[in-house]
Amino acid sequence: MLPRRPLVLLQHAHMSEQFHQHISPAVDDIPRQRLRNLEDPIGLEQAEVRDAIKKTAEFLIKNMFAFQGCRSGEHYQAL
Amino acid sequence: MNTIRPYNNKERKYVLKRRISQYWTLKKWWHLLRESYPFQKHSFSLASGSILQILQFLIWISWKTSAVGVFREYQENDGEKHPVSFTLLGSEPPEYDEYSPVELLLQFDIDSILALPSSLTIAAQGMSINLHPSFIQNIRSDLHIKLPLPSLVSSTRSARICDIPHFQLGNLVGPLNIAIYIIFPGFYCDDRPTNFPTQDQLARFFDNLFLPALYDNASADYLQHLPVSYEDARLKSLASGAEKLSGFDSLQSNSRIQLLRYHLPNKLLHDLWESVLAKTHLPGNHNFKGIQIFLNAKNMKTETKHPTPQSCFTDFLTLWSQSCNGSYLHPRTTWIDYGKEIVYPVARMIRVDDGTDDVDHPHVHLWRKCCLKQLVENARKHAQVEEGFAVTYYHWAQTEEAASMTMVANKSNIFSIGGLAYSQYYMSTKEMFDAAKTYPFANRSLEALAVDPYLTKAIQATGGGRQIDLGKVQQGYLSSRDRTLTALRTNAGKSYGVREEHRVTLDLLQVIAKMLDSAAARAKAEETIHPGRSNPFFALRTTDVATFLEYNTLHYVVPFEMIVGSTDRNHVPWESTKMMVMLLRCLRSAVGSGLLQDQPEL
Repeated sequence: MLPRRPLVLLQHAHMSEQFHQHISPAVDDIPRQRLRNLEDPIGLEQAEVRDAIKKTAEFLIKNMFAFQGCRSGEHYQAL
Repeated sequence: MNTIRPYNNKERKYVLKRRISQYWTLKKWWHLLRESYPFQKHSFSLASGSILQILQFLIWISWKTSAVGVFREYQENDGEKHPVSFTLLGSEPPEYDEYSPVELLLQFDIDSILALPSSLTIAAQGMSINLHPSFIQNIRSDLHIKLPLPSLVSSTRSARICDIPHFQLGNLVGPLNIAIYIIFPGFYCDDRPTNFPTQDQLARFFDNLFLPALYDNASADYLQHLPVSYEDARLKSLASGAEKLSGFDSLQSNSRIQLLRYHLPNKLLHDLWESVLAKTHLPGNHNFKGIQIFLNAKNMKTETKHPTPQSCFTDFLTLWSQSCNGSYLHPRTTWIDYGKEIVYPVARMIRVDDGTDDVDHPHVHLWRKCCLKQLVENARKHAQVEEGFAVTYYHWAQTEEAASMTMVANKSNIFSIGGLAYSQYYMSTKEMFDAAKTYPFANRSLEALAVDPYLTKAIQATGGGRQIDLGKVQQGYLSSRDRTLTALRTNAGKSYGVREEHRVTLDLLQVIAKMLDSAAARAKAEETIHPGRSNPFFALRTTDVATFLEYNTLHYVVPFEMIVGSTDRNHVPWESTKMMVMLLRCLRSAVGSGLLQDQPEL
């Protein structure tokens, strides 16, 4: 009698092979393709992405170094 | 309207004197209660108590709290409901007073790094691996990063990293503590109870992919030190706990699982990972396709702290390059938590309550909610959107005006495209209570103390669920209570600042660094900040804040223990249950920042 694990593995291998013959290539391609899309946002030109990066950087610098809150001195009235 | 605000020396002395005298009265009262009733450290078994005594106590504490100036209000302003607010001051709001000019500490740091490297070769000095990974090392919190998933129906399916099955393979060798995870998008399932792979999945990964790849590429002298299978590694890691039960070895550590680490040199890693990827194409391994390496380094703020952004970047890059080979990272799939904090420059080991000059006292900084709202408005204007952000405020110690905030840009927002995953603004006062993400009174099982045990058993018999050990729950409550009060009494000599953290992509950080290189920006970054009315945070003495927080905790602890002690544990009335549950839920946000909106019942 074979031990339990090889039996499970054999069964799984058989199922996976059948699975692979029909649909596996497409399933495989999607995560890699979408990861590449994460690296280069979908539907946007490089110039647009660069512009977005620049604007975000400007905002972060401005608010990290020059943000002084409400500036009016009457903080509570802003609530 | 009562509020938290900076106050002048005269007011401070008056309020402090009054508050401390009343605080001691309360403390004395509490000790009297403890002496009268046996809810000591090891027992909840108060035998008797009368409704009259509880009523007397509640009337007394209400009178005391109103006299001390701790008000609870439920305000409606233009139809908008606000949470219960407390104040440190009396009912008469004082005028503003300028603080003495003190130069605050302004520090920049890189707190954490997350990345999706393309190969294990990123480990410049090799890595140490564990072949029997444990669930407790898995990621539990939302990292605000989503990964694409394999899908037969839609190509736009993605999931949070913390929801996808993964495990920690090991750590990079080097000066920074950087963990390496292996993520299995192919095993993702919506109704999966845990993000840890099953034993069978782990065994298949190690036995079919990882170890065969390693044995294909390593030499015999190296392989003699390694286990040959997942089962071999598992049994070895359990051996110490299972076999050293008694006798001469009983004084040694007998934890159930022993963490056995093996070093993988850098020269092996490229071929090893290529071989693992190749094996995912073999029959039987197809659901390992899309396997992803994830790199996570956390809590690096104390290692990378610097007074200027430039020195912070330089120092960090030096440390980073000792552990990582950056050529395996993509700037769009590498996120860095870039932080800034402002702290009052005084810290002592002991609490000081005497009348020394104000500038010598440690202070706590707390974000003003109104200023954080202004910041969100600034962001909306800059991004030229009306909404565009998901903003969550976490009210500090149940106050209305002091809050932490998390701001997440929507997917289509220009900030999101630019590489900002999220920004968060919070107070370092949480350091007093944070024990590696374990916060006092946060365990929901504590509410079992408030429920009639027969009702609990009936519910469990009908609906199932895990059995709760009431003894352990009581110990958990007492541990939370004692830890909170000890932290408040022993940490009152230190200053706690405000922090802001931005999770940005590597390319965005590179642009920020480039912009800061200009002379004007550098001058702005290095300019000193003085406490005063124009700052977006409150500055209060730590002793005052600690007293307030202790009072706030006792405000709920004392009546809770009164009710527990005076109730027959075998027959808990429904009214008592409701009161106790309410008090426990209040305790969760009594000393830290909490999401009060999530508890409408309060």
